[in-house]
Amino acid sequence: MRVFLLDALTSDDAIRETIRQTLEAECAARGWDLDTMTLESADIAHCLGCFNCWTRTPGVCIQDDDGRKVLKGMVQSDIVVTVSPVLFGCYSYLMKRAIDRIIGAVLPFFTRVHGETHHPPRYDKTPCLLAIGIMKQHDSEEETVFRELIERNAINGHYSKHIAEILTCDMDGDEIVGRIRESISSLEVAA
Amino acid sequence: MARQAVLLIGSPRWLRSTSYSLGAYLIEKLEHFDCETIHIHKAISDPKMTQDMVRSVNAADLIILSSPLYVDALPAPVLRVFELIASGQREKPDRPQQFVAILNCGFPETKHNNTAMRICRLFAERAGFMWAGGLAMGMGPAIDGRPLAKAGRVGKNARDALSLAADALSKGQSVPEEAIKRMAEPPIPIRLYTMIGNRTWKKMASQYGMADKLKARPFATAE
Repeated sequence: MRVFLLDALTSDDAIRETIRQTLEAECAARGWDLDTMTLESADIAHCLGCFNCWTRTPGVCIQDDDGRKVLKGMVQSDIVVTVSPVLFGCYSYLMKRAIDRIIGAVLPFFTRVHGETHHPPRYDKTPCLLAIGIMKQHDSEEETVFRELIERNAINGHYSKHIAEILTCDMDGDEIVGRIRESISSLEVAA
Repeated sequence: MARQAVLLIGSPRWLRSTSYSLGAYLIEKLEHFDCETIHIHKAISDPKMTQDMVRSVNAADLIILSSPLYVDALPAPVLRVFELIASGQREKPDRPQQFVAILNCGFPETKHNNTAMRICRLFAERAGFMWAGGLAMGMGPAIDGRPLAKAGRVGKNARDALSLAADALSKGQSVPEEAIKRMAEPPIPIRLYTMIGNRTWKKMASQYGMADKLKARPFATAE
């Protein structure tokens, strides 16, 4: 089993080590491979909105940087874990810069699903998604929007199962560990 | 004295974008405003331009964000601007500052923009702006960056909606519900739009000799 971690926290975020250590321990205990991309130091250009990843070089972005590794890592994993501060209910800039580069995971064509138009997946197998959102303190409005965003990502990204987990900086370490463990166990069944 | 408006374009395609078509049409219809248009992707690439952009936003009476939808939310550079404006103590004028969002997406249904619009609203409220409404539309590529006045039938709903919005904003009011509803109406049937879209992708790919490789799986492992 492959787990791909996209970490948009920075070295200033105290919660980062707890999250990383927990994920490493959970993966090690199950014999899973964990591949981590630290977005703070990754070389990822902004999406150009050119759609060349659909028409000119299908499935691959024309920009040859770490953005390609984001898409490859996601496509080749069984579980994708994103860890990002939540800002106005959205991912942070660093996380979104990476996520904007993954549209090569779907095909350009339109298809109707449950009365809505979507793009079909490019690959037969799609990973599960654990989206961990970090808030300084709990904010129910932001949490609602973030959960909605992950729901939309899961529909349009065709994730086979998804969990949106909200952690706050005032939580104690045991609670953080417990929440992540629970999410991983839940996804283990689906993946 | 004319009030100040800032139009922020969230598309990397800048003057060739539907975001620009829509935003430019709105500011053209505004009355009693001096307008400045800023290309977000360019502005955040240079510290001096970033500083100037934040200063312009903080001084404006009306801020208009016109942006495409990227992966269910706003493009990353727009979020960077949100982060910059909201961080620290914002220098605010002692008068209300209205914030309006115009969003467009490539899906035919307008509702794909809903989450991004909620993000815009939360930003506006948390950063101390007065949320003056959001206009969203699907089928953005049907306009394809043409000046909205020249977009014919596919641009009619947007023209009507933006004219109504400009009239209200010129009077210091919020975007009326009628404008929001008009903007959201698909200008052509969904089935027609998706049929044309599917053909267009194949046509574009054939220009690169890739028509039969559109479904390639370059990162496939043993599936």
